[in-house]
Amino acid sequence: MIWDIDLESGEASVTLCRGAYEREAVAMTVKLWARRARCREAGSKAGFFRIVLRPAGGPATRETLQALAGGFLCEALNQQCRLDTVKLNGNVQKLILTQALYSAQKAGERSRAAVSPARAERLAREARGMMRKSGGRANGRSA
Amino acid sequence: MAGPKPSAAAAPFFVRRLGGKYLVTNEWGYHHFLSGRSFAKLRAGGLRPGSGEWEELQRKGFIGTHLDFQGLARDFRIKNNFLWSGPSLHIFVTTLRCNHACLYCQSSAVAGSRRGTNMSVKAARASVDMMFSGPSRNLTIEFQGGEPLLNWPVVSFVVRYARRRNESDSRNLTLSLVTNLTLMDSDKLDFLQEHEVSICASLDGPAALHDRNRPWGRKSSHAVALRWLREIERRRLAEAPPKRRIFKPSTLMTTSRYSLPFWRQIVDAHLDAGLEGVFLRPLSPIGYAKRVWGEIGYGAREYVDFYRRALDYILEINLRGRPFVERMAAMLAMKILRRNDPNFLDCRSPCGAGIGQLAYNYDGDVYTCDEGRMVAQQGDRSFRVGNVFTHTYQDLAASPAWRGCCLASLLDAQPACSRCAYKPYCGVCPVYNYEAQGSLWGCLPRNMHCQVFRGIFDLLFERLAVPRYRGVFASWLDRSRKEAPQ
Repeated sequence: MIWDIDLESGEASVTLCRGAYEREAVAMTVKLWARRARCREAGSKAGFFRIVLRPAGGPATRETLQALAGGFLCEALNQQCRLDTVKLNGNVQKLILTQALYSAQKAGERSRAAVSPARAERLAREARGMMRKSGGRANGRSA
Repeated sequence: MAGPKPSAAAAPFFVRRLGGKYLVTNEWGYHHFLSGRSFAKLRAGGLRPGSGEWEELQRKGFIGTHLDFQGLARDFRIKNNFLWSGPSLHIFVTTLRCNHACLYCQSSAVAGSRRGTNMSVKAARASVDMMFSGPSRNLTIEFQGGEPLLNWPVVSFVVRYARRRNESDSRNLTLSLVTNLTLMDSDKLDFLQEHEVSICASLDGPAALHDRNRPWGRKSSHAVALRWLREIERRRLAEAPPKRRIFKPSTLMTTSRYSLPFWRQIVDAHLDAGLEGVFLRPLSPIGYAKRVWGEIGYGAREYVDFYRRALDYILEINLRGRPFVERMAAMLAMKILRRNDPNFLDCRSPCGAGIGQLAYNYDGDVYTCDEGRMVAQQGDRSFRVGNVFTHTYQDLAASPAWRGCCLASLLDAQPACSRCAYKPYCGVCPVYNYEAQGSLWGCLPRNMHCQVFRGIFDLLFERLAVPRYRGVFASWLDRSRKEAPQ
């Protein structure tokens, strides 16, 4: 993990080892960073990813470029750790997610006799009448 | 060559060093404090069966060679009961209009004079029907806004229509109104109490602070809120024996930067109002609050410091003989001491978005949660799961936003959380992550939500290690069990 600042071109570059970082983690980080910087993959050495970052707005001072490169590296690490965690805990995750989503997806028991359409319409008419009585104001009092 | 087989190898556990001791927790929600020496023995499998500590650790599922699988599976099921139920909380945003101009205005409300943001009766009816299409046996309708009383006809329609529908559905239906109380009157209160609607009011503290956080023209919102809180309680006490369930009024308190120095006054204001507790909540930079965060926001450390002072003051009040609950601590204590789910949707894994709650906007759009709806109010509809007029319940549950929130908030998939000692009790908020850090996953080590909860859990566990404080937390749980509706 190396980073470099080029004040002349207003760019920062970060280099990530392919042995430690997967392409998916780098690609996710680039996508997340798109609002903050223009990111492009530069011709990389074998075994490394090299990403060049240019701030999306504002001046490219040493401080902003350092913050940009540091933040990018931090996010790349976060994404790679996330992928590693998914591999490690994948089975547990699948069980819990399947249970949660399956339970929520099930349809409710059909109402044996839901409110009759006539009854529902009468309640709705009453509510609309209240609105009219209040002169169009939904609440009868001034706000 | 392998060494001698340990007699008491540890089962998987999480650990955190706290106040000179080692706090160990496990997936089943048990916790235990160990000295350095005992912790080293547990790790090495050197604890000998028969000792008191071994017995207790075995009962709590920390000894891998002596696990009670059936008992622990039952504990897991109780603790994570929400995985088997589907959404139970249904938030109805009956209007975006509001007569207040709160500094943080999380509801992203619009001025009281704008009428285009009222929920129609048609949308309200379709929303109730959508709610009944879900599988949960427990349903709660929470009216929010804006100020829901500004659209009273629709609030009263939803109350009557939902109660009527439930006569055939027989779910456990509860209704709750979140209001600033300034538009309350006797007729409305009669109706709400007749239909067993609980009332939750905003109360930010003493008058000066409340009225600064929640400006209402030249009038004092605090004075009106207080008057109605007392009236609700008076009516409740006057009805004896009760013919119906009249709920005690409860309050929500939001902490702005201006609230931080007034921790004692905030607690005192709730005591003076005759309330049984206070719910201290941090502000989140979501929706409108994100835009004004520089003016009213604060850092995690500042909030945890505020919370620590207030909590210690509340504990002392309890020790002096006056029962008074801090609701955040009470909910977390329920998870820690009872290994039960208090239905605190912000703090569970996966979080409540979709699988625990849905927010119905005035226009019929449905969101994973109210926070997701607030993001949409700022122009980003990433958390929209569908619309009550054009989608079925199954469509909502299959939407990418619903699944994405569920996936991203599972702590087993979060690198910083999956090994955290507080994982059995904690949760993350994908909407917060999205707003504050640009992705549903977030980056937890730099995440304020995580820092705040880590700070609060540290405070709680430090106090749970002190028997007299532990007794206070336990008494809060006993009270809430007695008062729970049967």
